[in-house]
Amino acid sequence: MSRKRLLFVTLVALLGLVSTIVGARPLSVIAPVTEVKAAEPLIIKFAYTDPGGENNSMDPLNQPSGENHVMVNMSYNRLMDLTSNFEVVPELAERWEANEDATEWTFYLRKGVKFHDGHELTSKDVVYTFQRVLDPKRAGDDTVAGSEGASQLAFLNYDGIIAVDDYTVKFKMDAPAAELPLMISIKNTWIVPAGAKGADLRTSGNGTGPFIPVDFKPVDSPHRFVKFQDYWEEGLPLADEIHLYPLVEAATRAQAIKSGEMDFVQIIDFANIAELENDPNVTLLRSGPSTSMLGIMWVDTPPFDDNRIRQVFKMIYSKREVVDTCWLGYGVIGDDNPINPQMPYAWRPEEEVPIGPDYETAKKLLAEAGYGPDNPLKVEFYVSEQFPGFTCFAQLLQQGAKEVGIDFQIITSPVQEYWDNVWLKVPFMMSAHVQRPPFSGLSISHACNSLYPETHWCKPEYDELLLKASRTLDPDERIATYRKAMRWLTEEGGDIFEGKFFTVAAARSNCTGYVPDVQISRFDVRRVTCKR
Amino acid sequence: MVFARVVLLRALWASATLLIVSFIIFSAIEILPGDIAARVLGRYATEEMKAEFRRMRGLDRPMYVRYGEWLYGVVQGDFGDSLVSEFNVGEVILPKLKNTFLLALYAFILYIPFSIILGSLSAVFREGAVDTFLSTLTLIGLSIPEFVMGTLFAFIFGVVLGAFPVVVAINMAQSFGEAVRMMTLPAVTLAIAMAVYAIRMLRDNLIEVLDSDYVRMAILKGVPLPRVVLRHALPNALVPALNVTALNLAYLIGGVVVVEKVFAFPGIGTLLIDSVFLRDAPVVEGCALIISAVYILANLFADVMTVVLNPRLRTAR
Repeated sequence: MSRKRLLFVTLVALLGLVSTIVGARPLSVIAPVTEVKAAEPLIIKFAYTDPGGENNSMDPLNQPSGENHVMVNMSYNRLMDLTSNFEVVPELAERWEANEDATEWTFYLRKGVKFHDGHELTSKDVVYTFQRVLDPKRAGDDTVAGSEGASQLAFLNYDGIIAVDDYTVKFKMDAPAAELPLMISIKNTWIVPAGAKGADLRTSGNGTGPFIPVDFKPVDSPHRFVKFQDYWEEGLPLADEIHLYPLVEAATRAQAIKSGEMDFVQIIDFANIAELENDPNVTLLRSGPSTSMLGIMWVDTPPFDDNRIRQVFKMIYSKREVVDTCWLGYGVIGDDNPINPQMPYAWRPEEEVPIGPDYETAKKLLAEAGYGPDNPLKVEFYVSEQFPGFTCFAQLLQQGAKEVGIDFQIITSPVQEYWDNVWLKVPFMMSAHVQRPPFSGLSISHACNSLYPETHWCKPEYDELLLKASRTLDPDERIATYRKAMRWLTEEGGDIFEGKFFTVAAARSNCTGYVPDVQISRFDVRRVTCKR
Repeated sequence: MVFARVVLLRALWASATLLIVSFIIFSAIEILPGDIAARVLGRYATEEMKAEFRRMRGLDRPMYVRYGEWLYGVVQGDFGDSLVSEFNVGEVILPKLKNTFLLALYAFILYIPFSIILGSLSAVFREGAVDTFLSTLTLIGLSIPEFVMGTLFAFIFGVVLGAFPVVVAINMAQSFGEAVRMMTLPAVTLAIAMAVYAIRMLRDNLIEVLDSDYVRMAILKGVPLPRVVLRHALPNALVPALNVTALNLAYLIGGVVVVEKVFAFPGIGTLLIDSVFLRDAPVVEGCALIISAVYILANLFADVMTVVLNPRLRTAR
């Protein structure tokens, strides 16, 4: 074969290959353009962050990533919804009442609510939902390993969840639960149909919520959701379709809203705020104080078993500087306990909280605890950039530590591995908490039976305080008891800072209806709309 | 015939390589700290839940049993199910692979003329203004990481000029033309990232060839310069650049994660990274084997092309 002919044959083969590949382009590319021209459907493009890969699922039972929250919120309802101040408002339950000692709660369901598959919501669905969270196997779902929500609902009695009639559900417990409506409105208690199994829910979802996923795949770009025509809230949702785009890069999200390719962006990084603030086509939306950032110390492990040392780490930095430097002003300082100081029920010291730093007192406390220039305190602090500002906070702590003569090493871990390999495994590290109402906020990692003993804080008297509060029917008395617990943590606990940052979202200026929530697990797009 | 022998030998070697690669990956996922149960069930999962999950997915059995099972399936063409979503691995990978292939093809089509033309110009007009200009450009291109280049392009052509979309929603493209328009920014980014190496390589090779006696002879005989370069010099200069191209091909399939993230492009790179984080062995294996196979095929292709371009290698010894 001559060289010319060989070259020719190769070229032809290449061309053949090229045309085969082009011919095999994705189906959707060659899908015919829909020809129905009547009333253009209102399609909203919404960019979200934090995709969880194949882990994304439409089953509310486990929601390991922010992506799950977004999609579950669109397709399901709970009995009650929570406002940003953790007030309980009706959703699938129209009203509810408790017996005198709050050991028995009755919920009256809304009538005529339909699931996406067309069947009507009854109390059977509600009973199944809660029993499945508590114990999926016993409820009849053998396709899931369990729910992360089970421990938070441990105060419920599996057999005490009863369908009284089609529209009445009773929760009977052995002990009083004064705040039951609040405590059962968690991210895993979105109502699913009776008998639904995780294996099916994961890929299709079936709720009573405003939107239905179209051809759901765990990883997709975009994820398409269409309006549920039989949705129970009159006139909602406003949009016909919502397309969710996973945009991981903060710069891409900022560019996509600037260029108008996206109508909404769920999270704008603080660093991108400046360039968007002056754009007349973009509106920035700000939540209240949302997720918290904190350092945690094991209170039973040297040197942190000495409260003087814990106090030292709470005073060697400036709380104001953390908010201004690490969050560019988009946040509030914390009181070294999990409750947001801006909440009406939060405990506040009589005098304004010291902002710090107070090196003199810190040095004095260190000396009292037996540390000094000849015998410096040495600590290793674990951090990963889970949320903006984490590394910055660690560095501020390090600077302060240097001022008072502490040898402070920062150990940085990869973001994806952190909760798995570092969290709960080392005595001094950073953590984050989503906003929670008082009982769960104060107990989730501080109660003796906590599954996540972040600070190894276990005081039976503390548990008693919380228990007493949760059983107190009088709201003022209850709040007073919670405040005692908050104050105790502030004065002796292993939490450092607990300041909360704001979530900043963005919308095109022709679009309205989205309010970023303080709880990252809540995502409300019922009223989202754009003028075209 | 020499081709048949090369191909056969390479195929044998490739199979052995893929087998070893698959074993290394399987062990690596096993050794990595952290586990799939914790990833799937979330930060607040209890130990009992994690144990139950591992039991349900058969992860409580020894590694060699699971590897053997997986390999047995692969031999029969079944890559197993994702341990996370329980979808078939083929179903998970295929749509992303198609997207990546389209993007890679587009980038490659841009890359070839781009590097040949600029590389030849640089060499022919060496040390002139054109060469200095191109050398500076390629140097800059070499030192800018892809994601910076991508972000820059997105800003200039997407935000300021509004000519191309910043978010490549390839699944929403209504026509082939729209798909091409959507993929232009990432394709150009990739093409430039690859071409900067090739241009410099081609320039050096071509200069060497242009200095050789037979080229001088051709010029002295009065053969026109374009013909000298295209017909006599370029084919010889292309051979070393081919190996760079083969490496670039593999890079296009596997290593474009960064560009995928910048343009939110649903391709196989992001899938691979996500699956590694989730410790989803079957999906990681599937992606890795495809990328390894492309790598091996690209090298084979480069070798074949070397033979095509170099007549001396064509006669069997």
